[in-house]
Amino acid sequence: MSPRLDPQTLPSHVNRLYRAAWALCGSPHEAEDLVQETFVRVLARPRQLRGDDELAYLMRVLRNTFLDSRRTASRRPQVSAQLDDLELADDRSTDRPESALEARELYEAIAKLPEDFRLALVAVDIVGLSYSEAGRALKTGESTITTRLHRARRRVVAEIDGDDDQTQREGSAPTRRLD
Amino acid sequence: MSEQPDRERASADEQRLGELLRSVEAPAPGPLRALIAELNAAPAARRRLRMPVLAFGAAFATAALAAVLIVVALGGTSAPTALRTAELALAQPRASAPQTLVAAGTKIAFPDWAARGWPSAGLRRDRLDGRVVTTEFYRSYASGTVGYAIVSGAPLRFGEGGRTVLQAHGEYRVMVSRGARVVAWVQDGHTCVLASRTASPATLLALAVAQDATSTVSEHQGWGSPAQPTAAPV
Repeated sequence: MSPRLDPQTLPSHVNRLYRAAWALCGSPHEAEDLVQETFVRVLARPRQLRGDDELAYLMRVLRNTFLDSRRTASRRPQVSAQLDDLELADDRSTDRPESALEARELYEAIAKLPEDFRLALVAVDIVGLSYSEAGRALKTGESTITTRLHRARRRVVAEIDGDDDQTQREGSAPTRRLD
Repeated sequence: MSEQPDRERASADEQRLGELLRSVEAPAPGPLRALIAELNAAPAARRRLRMPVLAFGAAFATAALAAVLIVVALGGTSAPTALRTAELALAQPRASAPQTLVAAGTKIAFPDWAARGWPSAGLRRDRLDGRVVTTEFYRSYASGTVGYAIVSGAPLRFGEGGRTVLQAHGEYRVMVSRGARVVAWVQDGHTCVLASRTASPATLLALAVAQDATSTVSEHQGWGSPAQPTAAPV
């Protein structure tokens, strides 16, 4: 019988999931909502891990919740989106403004990636899953994860370090390079 | 011939991205961790309830569960709080709302959010320990139903838990109660509560902030008499 997810251990994953959510949505406020929604789903009933470890399971739920929220947002009336966009008080960046600025820049760069690339990078580099775990969580093959991950890393590094040539080349050539 | 440089570059990118990720600090905000801890507490209580089911059989378990449900339904406390008010805001409407509605015992007008994608979905009026609670419900296609309750009389305690958020118009308490999201604040000397099982805390907070700049009417505009004392169905 598959082991059950132990809710008591879940709070220890909040930081990692929050960073993953921020990278997925590109907004710390949306990330808060996404993490909370993920936990609401997970805690709604007892969960069997079915061969996953806890993080891989949470990553899968986070991904599904994120994709659902994107689908919902695409149907949302514009006026409602304006309400959601209303600036909220944020005391997170006051004590370390430089660090917060860099974090925002980095996570926004990740959030700009195409969805498949972004999910691969989040699963491996932020959540810390192995390639095979990421493949299972994202329902794709390990080799696909490897390819997406390499391209995702290249684009983010190019974006942050200002490597425009590489950004353009990667951005315009999603298929295999021939050089 | 091109594989080696590609591998080197991939390795360099992996290393560089690792450096970037380690160089920025992005811990989950404290209020989020507190909310997760609150969410976590509820299932823990339910798991403990399953023990008597196994040990003492179905009949005893049914009785025990019924007792627990009663305690849960009553909120486990007799003092009126914003959280108990939220139970009314999560209940079903009983009538359609008029064009203009002022909360009984207050001068606070309920907002018309139809143009913002939140048309009115009805209203109800209850008594909560001698106070009148007027609730208007709003429904958005994307975010589901939100109940907005305004309580007559002096401000209530918010209740345990949650986080306080400061905005231009004042303080708002954001709470989670049995899976529902609640935002409470004091406006014109009265407790106001927005609650929903579907809308996010950020959406509730945005609605609360938008409403807090609302007009306060000079004359009470009644909506019939309050309903008879009611339980707070959840």
